[in-house]
Amino acid sequence: MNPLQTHSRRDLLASVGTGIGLLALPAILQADTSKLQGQPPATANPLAPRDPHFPARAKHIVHIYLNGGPSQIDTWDYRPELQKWGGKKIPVGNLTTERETGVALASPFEFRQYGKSGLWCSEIFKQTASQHADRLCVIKSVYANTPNHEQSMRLMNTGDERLSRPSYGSWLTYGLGCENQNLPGFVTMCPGLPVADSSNWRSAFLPGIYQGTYLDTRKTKVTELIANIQNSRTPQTDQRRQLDLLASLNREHQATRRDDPNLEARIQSFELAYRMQMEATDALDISKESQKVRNLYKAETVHGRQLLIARRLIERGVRVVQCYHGDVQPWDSHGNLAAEHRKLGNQIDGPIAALLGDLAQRGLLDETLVICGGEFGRTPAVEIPIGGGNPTGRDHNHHGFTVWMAGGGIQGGLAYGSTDEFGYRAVENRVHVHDLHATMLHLMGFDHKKLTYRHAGLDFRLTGLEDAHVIKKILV
Amino acid sequence: MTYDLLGLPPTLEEIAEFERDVTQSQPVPPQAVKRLIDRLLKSPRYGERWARHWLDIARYSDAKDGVLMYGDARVRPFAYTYRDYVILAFNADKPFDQFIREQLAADQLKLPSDSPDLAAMGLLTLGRMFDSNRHDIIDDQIDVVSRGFLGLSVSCARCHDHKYDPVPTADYYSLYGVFASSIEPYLRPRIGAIPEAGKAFEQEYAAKLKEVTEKQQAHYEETLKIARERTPDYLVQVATTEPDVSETTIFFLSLIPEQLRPQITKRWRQLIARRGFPDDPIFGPWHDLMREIKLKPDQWKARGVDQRIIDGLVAATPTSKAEIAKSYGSIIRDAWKAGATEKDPLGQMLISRDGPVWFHPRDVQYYLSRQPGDAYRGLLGQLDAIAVKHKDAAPRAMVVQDAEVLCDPVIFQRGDPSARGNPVPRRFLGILDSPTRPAFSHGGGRLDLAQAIASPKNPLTARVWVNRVWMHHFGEPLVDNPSDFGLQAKKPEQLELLDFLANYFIEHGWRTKPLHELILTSRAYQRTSQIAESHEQYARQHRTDPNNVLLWRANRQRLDLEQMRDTLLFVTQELDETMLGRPTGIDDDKNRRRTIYAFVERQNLPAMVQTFDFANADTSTPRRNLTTVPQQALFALNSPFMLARADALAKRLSGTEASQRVPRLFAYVLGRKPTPTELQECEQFLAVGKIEQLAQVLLMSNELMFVD
Repeated sequence: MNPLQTHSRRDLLASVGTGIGLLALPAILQADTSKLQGQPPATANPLAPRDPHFPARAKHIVHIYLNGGPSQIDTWDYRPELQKWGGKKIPVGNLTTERETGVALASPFEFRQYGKSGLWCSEIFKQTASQHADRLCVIKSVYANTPNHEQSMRLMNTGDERLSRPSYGSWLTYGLGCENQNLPGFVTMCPGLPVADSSNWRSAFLPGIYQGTYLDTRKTKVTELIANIQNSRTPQTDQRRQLDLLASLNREHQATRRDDPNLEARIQSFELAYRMQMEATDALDISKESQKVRNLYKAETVHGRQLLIARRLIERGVRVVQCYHGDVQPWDSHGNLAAEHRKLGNQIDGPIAALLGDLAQRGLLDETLVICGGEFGRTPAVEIPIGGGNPTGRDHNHHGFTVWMAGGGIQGGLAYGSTDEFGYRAVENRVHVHDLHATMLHLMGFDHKKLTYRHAGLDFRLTGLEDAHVIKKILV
Repeated sequence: MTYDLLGLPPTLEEIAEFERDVTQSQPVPPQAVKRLIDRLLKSPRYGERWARHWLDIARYSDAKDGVLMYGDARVRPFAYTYRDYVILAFNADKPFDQFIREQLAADQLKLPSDSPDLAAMGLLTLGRMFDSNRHDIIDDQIDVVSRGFLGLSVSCARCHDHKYDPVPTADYYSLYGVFASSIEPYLRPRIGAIPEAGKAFEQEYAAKLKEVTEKQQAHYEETLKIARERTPDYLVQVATTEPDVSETTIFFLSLIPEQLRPQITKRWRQLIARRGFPDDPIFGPWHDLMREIKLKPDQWKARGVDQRIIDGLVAATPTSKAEIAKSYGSIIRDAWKAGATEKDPLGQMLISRDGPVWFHPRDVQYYLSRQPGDAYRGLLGQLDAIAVKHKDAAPRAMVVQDAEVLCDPVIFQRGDPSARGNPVPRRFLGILDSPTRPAFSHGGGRLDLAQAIASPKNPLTARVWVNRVWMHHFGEPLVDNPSDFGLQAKKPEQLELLDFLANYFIEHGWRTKPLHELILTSRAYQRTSQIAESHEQYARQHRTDPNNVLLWRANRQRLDLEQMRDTLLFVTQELDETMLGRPTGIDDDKNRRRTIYAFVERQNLPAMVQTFDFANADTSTPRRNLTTVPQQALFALNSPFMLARADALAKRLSGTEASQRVPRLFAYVLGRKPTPTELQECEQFLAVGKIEQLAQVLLMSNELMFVD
């Protein structure tokens, strides 16, 4: 047997080692080719900025992640029919979700229409809706595969429910590199850890440098947010002297080894790091903002602070910023939904409104895609509490839920798609999570079928094998 | 060479000794090189370096990947026994074919019941848990075995025939059947003596195991009984509803006790889909009635339908689909209650292992409603939790064994376990054997598989391993992608060399140490990476072969994570050489052991591990990425680890005469004297700066971090 037959185009890609992008990323291929022997060359800076496949509508993504599964029928998906059937069994029957559900539970919240577009929204997000309805595209027909947090979280972030796949933020950083070499390309913030923790922002088989940089925002001191960002004892002037001596010694070492780009790359990395210490610390330091801005964001709360940091990061060129609402799964209102959802809305509604307004005012909204939603929604039928008790909550619902988008390349004031009359299942213009991903990549300038990576003998992509579609009708 | 074999720099004395040997005669006398190689290969540090290369391929981790697992709950307390097995195997130069057989089938090699080599099967048990999805776990086992040993990505054939290589889906499911025929027992064999302090664990473990066994049995009997009793409900569900998400996808359901179990509903659905045809002696009437509700007892009798079905239906005179299904369910259940055995076609459905109701007792956790399920899973978790708690527990091996019921595999169409296609035998890959190869004959076939992989006739196994060894010596492999020798691979420039090495390896008893010796004594290996650019030879070679494919010089290599951390501890004389045993956190500031003994996390990797391109423990890694990013420099500049090393180095210099401090520092860190310029620059630095700061500069230097 001769397993070693050659294939020229594939060869070229395989020889880049990482099988980058099926000729999709010329900038990488143009990188120094002298050492391309089956692994990413240390010299081609993996974070160097690169052009996407076609001109992008958005340069950044801010994902406000309401983890736990916010209820669509208590927020953006107004269902008058559900209000009528409250307390009665839904005539078409309940869909299977994670737990047993019973009669219809009418929404305890008031709904009204907002803006010129007349988008419906409940009082939970009234600030966002009243200030920005005409900027939002509310997609009411999103669906996922299973009613479980772990799997759905991974699906929303990595396109696969169980396997080790790179998160969309990693894919984008791999595709685009970093605009700002002093900051990571992909940052993820959470006060604590969401369910399925780092698998939500992992790079999996992509090089580790594309993994999301996680900031535990329970920590309030800026220097504690990023590992090793500051020296605990060496004053800056001393450190500068160390670096000067180091550079000098390294140059002497390099003198007889001038053709090795790896040595040069490492020398440069120290200068980058030195600047990063300042810039990263600065980017995370919201005390540099005016009191007025801080008030607007409610920056004294962790939710407001996260969104304000998000703005500071994208302003400085970070590609993808995720802000999780809280530890584990705060929006998971299996019981006491009325009070829980109200409390959560109060925490995040004001900051979201502030972020959208702030981005618009700074001219950043046009180039920033803002996404808000959870891993799934909730059932119109009340959950039967396991082990008895009063039914007051809703179960997970992956059959139909709402995600809204705004900003870079997205039509405002638009309600897209629809669930059935009770808000249970997406029926019209259904949008699978992979379609969301295809659309996000499209807005960032990528054909989702061509942003690929060779691993274990296959070319992988974010949107998987089944056909995913860009939602063309919501684009500007 | 010391770095290559041990992952550590040589000591000052060792450098001096070698230089003595060398300077006495030119060129380098072969005996001096031989002496050096012998000494290095005998060092226990060797296994600690080379085991790590294998652990990358084996996707080794000390952690579980379950969700909502924190603290001790995420620890696999006995994972380390596999890591130790690999270290000892390398140190003992265990023949590679034996290494393969032990990792796949140590349980079938007639080893003593407490043999530490049983831990070899950690290869199969240390992967991800995939939210307990058995199909994914098996896929991961197929992947690690096929890419790891054979350099073939067989996993690509899970859903469709391999896109590029001659691996049909049928072959994938042949291997699937092998791994699906194994289970990981709750009772793990003890492979070491019980220390005095470990006695408490043994008692607690035995008691916990007893509790698990009893609980499992009780839950199992109850679940089966209820499922049989509720046969009418299951059939009504099948007849009146479409399959829903709970049956078609695999996920965790919070069932209340009264709910039907989706797995059982699904199997009933499959049974009726298979048998709901006019000529079926049981479900023939079902076929008729679901189309037209009209009793046809005479016609049915003539068609040979079971009389009990006819009588039952006539007595019930159903008027709807639900009633038909209910009658059927009652007839079947009543037959079982009246004592029908497995031989009876009605009893068979509720009792037989092939029937829709039966499941393996081990799987009972997936059939329980939420509260008892949580309690039972909690109990299972305690088996590991108590082992984590008792630090002195004797080691136990994470083995697999053949299951009571072996798996006769069928092809899952498009990888979907509910779309069952043609049966396939458990046997080896066609491409590496003949089309008429026999089915595996020993139990589930793991040993047969191991023999087939470890056979000198197998064209891939030896080549794949020697290519990996070559890569770790030269920085570049002969075949570009070391875990993919398929049609996608580029034909190596030095195919004959690869074949020569593979033959040499097999002829020398599949031992790796002779292979090292062969490679290390070659002229190719002894070339330097440093050739003056002014040199005429340089210009010529650089022009004709800039990528150094033909190895006209050595490839300069940057230290990887382990080499870096170990080196930093080594040059400060802090390295703790304690071998083997339970892992310690890499961020633990008291941890001075070699990096291979650090706890390998799966999620939330410590910054040091993540920044320095450590192997991804979720999947087999043939070769690490090599990135140069500022986060690495931040580690060097600011991490508590680096500052502590700088302090330790400064301490080593305390009491040294001022004029000797810089030369000493250079000797300790770089193993040489400073040049006059360097000396002057460092002295200037010290005029204002602290000695710790200077020490840190040397520890950060390119010269220390790269091997020429």
